[in-house]
This record gives sequence, structure tokens and C-alpha cells, in this order.
Amino acid sequence: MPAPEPLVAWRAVADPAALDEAPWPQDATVLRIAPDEVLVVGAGRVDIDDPHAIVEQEEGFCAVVMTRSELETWLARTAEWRLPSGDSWFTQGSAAGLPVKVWVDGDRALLITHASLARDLEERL
Amino acid sequence: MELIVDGETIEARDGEDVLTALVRTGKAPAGCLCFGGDCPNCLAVVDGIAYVRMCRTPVRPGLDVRPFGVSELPPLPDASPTEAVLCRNEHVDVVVVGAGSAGVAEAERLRGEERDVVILDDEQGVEVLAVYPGPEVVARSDDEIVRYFASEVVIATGAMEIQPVVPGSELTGILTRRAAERLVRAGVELGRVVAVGTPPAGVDCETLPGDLVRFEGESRVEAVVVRDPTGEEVRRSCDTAVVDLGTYPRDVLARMGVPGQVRTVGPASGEGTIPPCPDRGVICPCSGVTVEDLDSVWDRGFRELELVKRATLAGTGTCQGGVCAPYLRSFVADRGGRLQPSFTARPLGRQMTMAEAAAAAHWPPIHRTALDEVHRDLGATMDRMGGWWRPWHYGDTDAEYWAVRRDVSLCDVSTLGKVLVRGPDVVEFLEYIYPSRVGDLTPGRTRYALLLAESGGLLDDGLIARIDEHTFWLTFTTGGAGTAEAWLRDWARGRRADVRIMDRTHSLGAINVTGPKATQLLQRAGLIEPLPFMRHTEGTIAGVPCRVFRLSFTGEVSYELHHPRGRSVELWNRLMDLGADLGVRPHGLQVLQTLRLEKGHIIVGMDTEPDSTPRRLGMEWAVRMDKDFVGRAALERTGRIPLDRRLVGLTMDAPAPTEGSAVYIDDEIAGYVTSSGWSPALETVVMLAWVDLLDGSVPPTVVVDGRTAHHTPTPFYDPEGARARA
Repeated sequence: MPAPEPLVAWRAVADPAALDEAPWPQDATVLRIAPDEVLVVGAGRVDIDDPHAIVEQEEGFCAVVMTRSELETWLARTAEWRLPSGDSWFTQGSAAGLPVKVWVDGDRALLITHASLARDLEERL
Repeated sequence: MELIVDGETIEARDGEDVLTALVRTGKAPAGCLCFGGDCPNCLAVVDGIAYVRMCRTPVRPGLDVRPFGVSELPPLPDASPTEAVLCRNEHVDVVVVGAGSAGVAEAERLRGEERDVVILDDEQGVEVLAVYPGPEVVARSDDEIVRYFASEVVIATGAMEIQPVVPGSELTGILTRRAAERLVRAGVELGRVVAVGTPPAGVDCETLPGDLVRFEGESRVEAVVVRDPTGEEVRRSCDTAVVDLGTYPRDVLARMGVPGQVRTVGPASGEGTIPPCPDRGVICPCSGVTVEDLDSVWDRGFRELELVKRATLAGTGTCQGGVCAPYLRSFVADRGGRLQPSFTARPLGRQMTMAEAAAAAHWPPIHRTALDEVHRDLGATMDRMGGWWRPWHYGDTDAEYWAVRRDVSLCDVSTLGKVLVRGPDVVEFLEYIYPSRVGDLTPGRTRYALLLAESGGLLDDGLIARIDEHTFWLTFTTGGAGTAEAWLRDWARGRRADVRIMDRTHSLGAINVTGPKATQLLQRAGLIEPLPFMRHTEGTIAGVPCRVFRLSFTGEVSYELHHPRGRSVELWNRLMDLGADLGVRPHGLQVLQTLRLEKGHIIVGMDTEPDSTPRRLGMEWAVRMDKDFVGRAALERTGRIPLDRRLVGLTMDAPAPTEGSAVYIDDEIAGYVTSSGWSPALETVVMLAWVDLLDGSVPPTVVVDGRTAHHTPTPFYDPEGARARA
């Protein structure tokens, strides 16, 4: 399993309606981590129609890219929650005792946790 | 194939269980054997694992078996590390436990309703250990623990045979009917067999009509005595006694579950036979509880089955009532005149090793700052504080201390909570969150603030920094950071405040630069002009974009540099290089504890209790009662009550008492020390302590550790604060 790498992203907290309507860059991956919060990976900039939106470059997460099969095998050992079904999904929860965010798209999967827990994640993968 | 039983090699046949092999070779354990996994009479240490039921253990070549009696304790296991056991989690709609006819039929019915069903049965290699609320079923296969999360659990484990409770029940050579049938099918010679009740099929035996009275023999059964229908005792000599006393639901797993989540089908759901209440004998072999023991607690007023269980521990052993449940119910019905429902069973229903129990467990993770490796490379002794690895010291605490007091020092404070709040309602919102005034802060200014619970007790403390009209930067303690965002969001939602809240704790690093030469170092690093005390600004320090806060926790000039986490190492190393000739060195938490204690600064959770109000802490100056805020009502109410205790400063001669030491006034305990340490600068021991008030005040001296301590105002060091403001 590859080691976790720093995740380069934008993070935004804004009015949920503004996030619903935001024109996300086509190639960006937008992870809705809360009704009023997104993590945007692969975008040059983020425009949100909310004058009070907080938009910051985010260095607080790390991620591991793996196959969907690798992810599902690991989560079956480490997570109590039922995985979503479908070809593409995003979810969050505890796995191996760590707070994780999981994005699956086809056969690709991205496993995200705090950068401060990169070592713990690596040890538990 | 050969097994090793108590160090002796015995022959076993392929496909049979260990208990059958023992009976075949004349090594049957004492007590009535059921071969159903219900009773506790065939326990053994098998390959180092205790409390294994031999009747459920298939033979394997070289298996090391050490049987022990139900009233004995197995030897402690070898302390050598064992292999980790894997855990797998599965989600299904229904778990059916038991692959007998009732279980299979129920599974088929459920599948007909297009429900996702899994059947578990130890005869098929999956042994169910426990049922927990959820429901969750924990099972063991050959190589892993499996946790099944289901919407429903169906127990179809059938019925067990009732064990005899009469004098002599503990003799060897007694079998239940099914056990006898099983052994004969396995080709085991039973000798002369006498049966009580329905005789075993396929077994050549004499059947004695009547009620079982006792078994006779020395260690092995030699005769069975019954009372025939005329009331006469009838005795028959035998080599093996077989009893059929009826059946009882094998419902241990069902009794572990939560009603509504777990149900039973088939014989596991029946009422079963309630045997006559025995006159004497051991009812619960696991806990050694006799009829006399039950009468004793009954006579003392324990009249409910659950209470009888708790008072005697009957039913709390390895079989969780497998043997005693019908007899306990019979006893309570006999004495009380009412048949009561069976009692709750507790996990586990089978033995489990520590490795298996730990299979699904994970150590709580410990966060690492971006400077973690830097600290370790510097030789820091790291410790876990507030959920983070932090440098406790770097090997020379004297040098670390004096670097702060005389020169300049760095401390990694990346662990502090850091939350950005913005929105049109931000001032109104924060005015309610904090007891301090918020609206009068102008951009660029910072204020220390308390965070109170509704009870008025101190939750946390930190800084409020105004960035612009609608934006504030809040800091929290390391320990409080984890809940700060949730606290803010809850109140924002509850008050419908139009604000955005972003927790930046894990995104940003923070380095505290402190000491008389701190300003000089930062000017070298790019700070354009000195920042006044309790102000903040954005700037580039050593090439790294930072938000710079001028404050002080150490009592010296201090700057906190909040910066992108990914630039922490670069910033730290550059500051260390630039300050080399200024004597810069890092300090750890051990020295920081001393520095802040000299200033009388509290650490929330160490110096405070849940009911530590600002008044008790002597921090009323941080509270504005002319506005509404979280905790105000409690402060107003408690403010009318005479003050009962305070957090005060104490000084005394060395050595420093242990934190937690009692404080005595007139030989009575009147409080305790929360923080204690030797002050190198003041050359005395300084302490913070909770002390009860006598007539509204703390006496000039108290006794700690058998010595006199002096009540001393705080701050102990630089009480005017001139050094921090320099």
C-alpha cells in the first residue's frame, strides 16, 4: 500500500445554497464534507457566491490513492459502517480508529485523513 | 492420530471431537456430559487456550489438551506474545444462528422475502461468541473474528438437555441421552448402561422408571438410584448412567440480546421443561452454588430471579445459565409460587483470547505536528499530551528555561485550537459565546477570553483576534481544540447566527517565539516593526506567510506565528539559524509548565474542575455581566452565594510537593495542589491550589506535605507584567 501523501486542496465554508450553486472547475473533485463545507481537489481557484465564505488553501489532510478493491478490503477489516453502493460515492467515518474521508470513483479510490495522522494511517494500512 | 492429554499421548480418530477421544480412552472428565456445548463439564486448556469445550473441538494431530474441572482455575497462559487476530466486519439484514431444521427453515422463509440472510453454526466452522445491542453478532472462524451488523438476529440453536442435580452428579460416567447416542454411534463402548427417562436410541441399556434420586460411586458412577412410582428406592449397578430429564431452550444468545432485535425460533423459543426443585446439591457448577446458597439469599429477601443470580453469582459462569437456568427458575417458583422469566445472559457465551478480543480494537491515534521529526532529531523526549505527541523536554531543562528568561526560545504550539469565524452575525454571536466584550475589539487587536459552559464552569480559554469587521480568529487550548468547533457550531445553529466556522487546527502550524530577544529574532526574520502587546498582523517571517500574534504565556515577550502546516519545518529551521548567536534553543512542555506557573496562568483541566467559575478562579475581570452570554445565568445565581473556595497561589521551600497533595488548615483537609514546581527565577516552590475559604478568606499560611506554605498573590513572577509587554 502506498504511503500517505499531503493532499493539496481548497477548503471552503459557505452558505450551503451557495455551495450547491457554485461553478466548480470541470476537472476538480469536490467533496462535500459538511452541508456548509467542501474540500476541492484539483482546482486552480474556487469561486463561491457568498460574500462571507471562508476559502482557504488546505494543507491539513493527507491521502492515499488506491484501487476500489484495496479500499473495500481494508475497510471491511477496519470500519464498522456499511459502505455506500454505486459507482461513485463519498463518505466519512472512523476506520482503524482514524477519522477518514473516502472517495470512490469507478475503480479508483482516495482515502483521506488528517496530515497529523499520516504516520498512524500508514501503520494501519 | 495422536493427541497429548496432560502430557500423555492418546489415540484419536479422524473427524471426532476431543471429548469423544477422551471417553474412548477412559479419560472422561467428571460430571454429566452433554456433548452439546451447553454444560461446563468438559473444559480444557487446548493448545494454550483456556475454557475450551472439548466436545466442540475437533481432534488434530499433536493437539495439546489439559482438562480442568469446572470448579478449578486453569493455569495462567504463557506470557509470550501471540499472533494478531484479524477482524472482518460484515453487514447483513438477518443473522440466523443455528443451521438445524428450524434455522434453515427460517432462513429460507426470510430469503423468500428477499432479505439478505447469513446462517452461522459452529458445526459449519463459525462459532457465535456473543450478541450485543445493535444488534451485532460476534463470531469466530478458523482464522478471524467476524462482526456481523444486522437489522435482526434469529436464534435457532435448538434445545439443550437438562443436567441432573442430585447427589453424585459430579461423578464420572454420567451422560445425557443424546450424548450416549452420539458416543455409541462413534463406536465408544459404554459398558453396562442404566437409563433414567427415555432410553437412548441404539444403546443397549436397562431403563429404570421413576424419579432420579442419586448416583453412587467413588469417583466413577457405580449405581443409579431412582424412586419408583410406588415410592420405593430402586438401585441398579452400572458402568454408565444415562439421563433424560427433558429439554430446555438453548437461549443463552437470545438472553444476551436486546428484545426486539433478537428473537428465537424452533425449540430455542419453547418454554422447555422446568425440573422439580432439587432438595440439595450443586445447581450452578460454574459458580459452585448449592440449593443451600439459594435458600440463604432467598431468606435475606432476594426474591427476584435476577437478584438471586446477582446475590449468588449463579448463572454468571462460562455457560451463562446453560445448566442452572431451569433449576434457578424452578427454585424461585418453588419458594415464591410464581414461575419467573429467565435471567439476562452476558457476553461471552464462549471463551475468547485476548488477541481475539483485541481484533477489532485500535489504539486511539496520536496526532503529530509537522515538526514531529524535527523534535525527535533534536533529541526530544516526546510525550502524549491532549491527543498529540509533544516534546516534553530536549534533555537540558535548565538551559531551556534560561533561554526563555534571558535569551530567546522556540516552542511548537501547533496543537492549539485555531478557528476562523466570519459572517454578518459574527459579533453578536461571539458576544454570546464569550463572557468578555468582543464588539469593541478593533481589527488587529487580540483579547484573552474564557469559554464557559452553561453551568458557569470554565470549559476552555484562548484568544479572540479580530481580523476585519466580519472575521475573527479564535484560539483554544490543545485539549479543547477537539470540541471547540462543535461547540461553536452548536450554538450558531441554535441561535440561527449567520456565520461561517472553519476549524484550522490541523491545517496550520504554530511556533511560539519567546524571550527578551524574541523581537530581535523576528526582526531579523522579517518582522517589519515591533508588534504591540495583544496585537496581531499578517506578515512574512523567514519567507513564510504568517499571522503573527503578540501575547505571552511564558511571562516574556512572545510571538505566536501561525503558518501553513507544510511550511513549519522551514520556518522553524530558519528561526533556529537566525537566532543561533542570540542563544535560541527550543523548550518543551516541562519548562513551559514552570514558566506559566511562575506567571500564575492556569491550565484548563489541570488547575480547573467542571465547577470552576471565574469567581472561584479569581478571574472575574474576564467577565462582563452587563451582557448576555453562555453561563451568565449560572454566574448570576452562584454569585449570590458566599464564595466557598478559590484557586490561590502558594509558595514554600523545596522540595516541591506532588501535584494533588492535600492542603491543610488547622489539621483539616481544606483543598489540594493543582500545579507545583520549583521556580529557578524566584528560587522558591510555586504552586496553584484549591483552598476552602475560612470566613471568606484564605489564611496567610497553610500546610502542604507537612510543611508551611505561604498564601502568595499571583503572578509570582513579574507581577506587573512589564517583561511580557516590553
